[in-house]
Amino acid sequence: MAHILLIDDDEQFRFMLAQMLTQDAHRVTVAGDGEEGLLLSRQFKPELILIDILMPHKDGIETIMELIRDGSKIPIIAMSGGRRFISAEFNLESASMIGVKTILTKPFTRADLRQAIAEALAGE
Amino acid sequence: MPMSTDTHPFPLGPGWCFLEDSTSVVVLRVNQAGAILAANRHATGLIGEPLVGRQWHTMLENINGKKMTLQDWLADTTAPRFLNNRTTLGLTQTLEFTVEPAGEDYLLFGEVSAAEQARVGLEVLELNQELSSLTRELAFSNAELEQHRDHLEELVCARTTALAKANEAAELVHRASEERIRMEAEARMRSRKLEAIGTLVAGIVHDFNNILGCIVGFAEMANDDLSDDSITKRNVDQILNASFRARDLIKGMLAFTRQNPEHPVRVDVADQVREALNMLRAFLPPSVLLSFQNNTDRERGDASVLADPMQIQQIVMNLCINAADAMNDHGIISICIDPAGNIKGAPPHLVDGVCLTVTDSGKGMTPEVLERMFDPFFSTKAPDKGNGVGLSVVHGIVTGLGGAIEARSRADGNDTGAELRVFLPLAKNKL
Repeated sequence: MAHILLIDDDEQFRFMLAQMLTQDAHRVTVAGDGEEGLLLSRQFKPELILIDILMPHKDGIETIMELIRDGSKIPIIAMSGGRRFISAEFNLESASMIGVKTILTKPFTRADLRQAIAEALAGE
Repeated sequence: MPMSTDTHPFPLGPGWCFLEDSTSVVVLRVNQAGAILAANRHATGLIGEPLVGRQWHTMLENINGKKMTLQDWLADTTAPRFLNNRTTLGLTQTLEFTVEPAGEDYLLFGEVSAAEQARVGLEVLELNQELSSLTRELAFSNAELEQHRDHLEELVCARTTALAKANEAAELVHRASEERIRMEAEARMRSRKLEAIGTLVAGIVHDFNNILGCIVGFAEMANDDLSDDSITKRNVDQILNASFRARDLIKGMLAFTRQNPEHPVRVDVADQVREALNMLRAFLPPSVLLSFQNNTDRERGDASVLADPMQIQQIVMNLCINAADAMNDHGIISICIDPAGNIKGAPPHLVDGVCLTVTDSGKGMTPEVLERMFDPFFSTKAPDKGNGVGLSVVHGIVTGLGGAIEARSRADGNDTGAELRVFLPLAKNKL
């Protein structure tokens, strides 16, 4: 239904999520890190970005900031492997401040994913 | 007849002897042959040799340098009649002898001549005077010495006591500071260990959750092809079940090792403000102008506080978002950092700290709003534009750090806006 850009450094997870999204009739573009993600975002202008917050090289947060600086209005769903989002200082309130609509904590169910996507696409 | 040397030398009564013994005259009784029969105490004392029984001519040798019998000596009127005697004091005394017959014997009287006496007397007088003057000098020196010694004893006593006290105090301080150093080192070691563990665990957890995510994802997709009443579906459901148990287990463990959000370190407020402003600049519209002025000296530690860096950033972010909202995304937000002492009206207990001021050119705040602005869930925004926790979060953080937050509103004519001041205490032991 939508063109989704998936940015995650875990290959297997990327593979699994891409399959899951494709099954739901989304068009999926994948990137293995933030740099690649930014490039593809500028190139393909997806309708939604699913990004892992904790990634080596270009950190997820940095990537999001750059996207926003680019003037991107693409809704972002952040995925958490459990590190940065477990501490109280980075809660939903803070996340929304930098333009992240939803945080999905791995492992999440497909139902959670579907709901998050629906909300994000409906939001703007 | 020669007298026996055992008997009393003088046959005369004891009175005579006493007198003779106490005189300063040398008295010798000598017989015709020249043997000394008796000598008074003065003679023995002065000449210093046992005299009784000796031959006079041995004495004569001393007098005129050659042997002579008594008779010859008596007959020779030119022979010297004196004896030079060296006294124990090292003085030389000249004794003049006169000889008187006494019955069968002779009595020899030796006296210091008057002139000699005078000379000796003068010498003694001089010596006495010298001695007297030396004695006086000595007395003074002794007195001085005694006084010095007493004084010194006092000084030494006082200094020793003072030193002992100082040593005690120094020892206590040293022990206390050693103890403190030890405890600080221990605490640092502990926190480093915890940090290390935390980081390690967090890293593993991240990968672990990725893996769990895969298991859950693929299990769910596998279930798609299975009918609800198939055993395989039930089995796959169990896989999902187990995965969520694993997830909860990890979450529980993580909560245990989680880094304390209030993990304070020494941070410079200005640095954190800059970080926050970077983020803010990224998503605030260009119609919101941001101005930043730092009036603190990093070297002096004017803005060095003990806090989690994220806390400072959160304060700035929240205040600025609020300001932007108040201005309807149009206007200027000014952020200033100053030493609290330079700010009029700083809370007295924070006057040594740092002050962060955020000013906007928005519509200002009414007294009612000012009163409730830090209440959780109090918001002047429309319900879908924010739940009003931002300022209460800031309030919580600031008070948690031992600081204070104040708000003022300007609403005089064209110049409206709000000014929020955050006062924070400085980290102790400024470097």
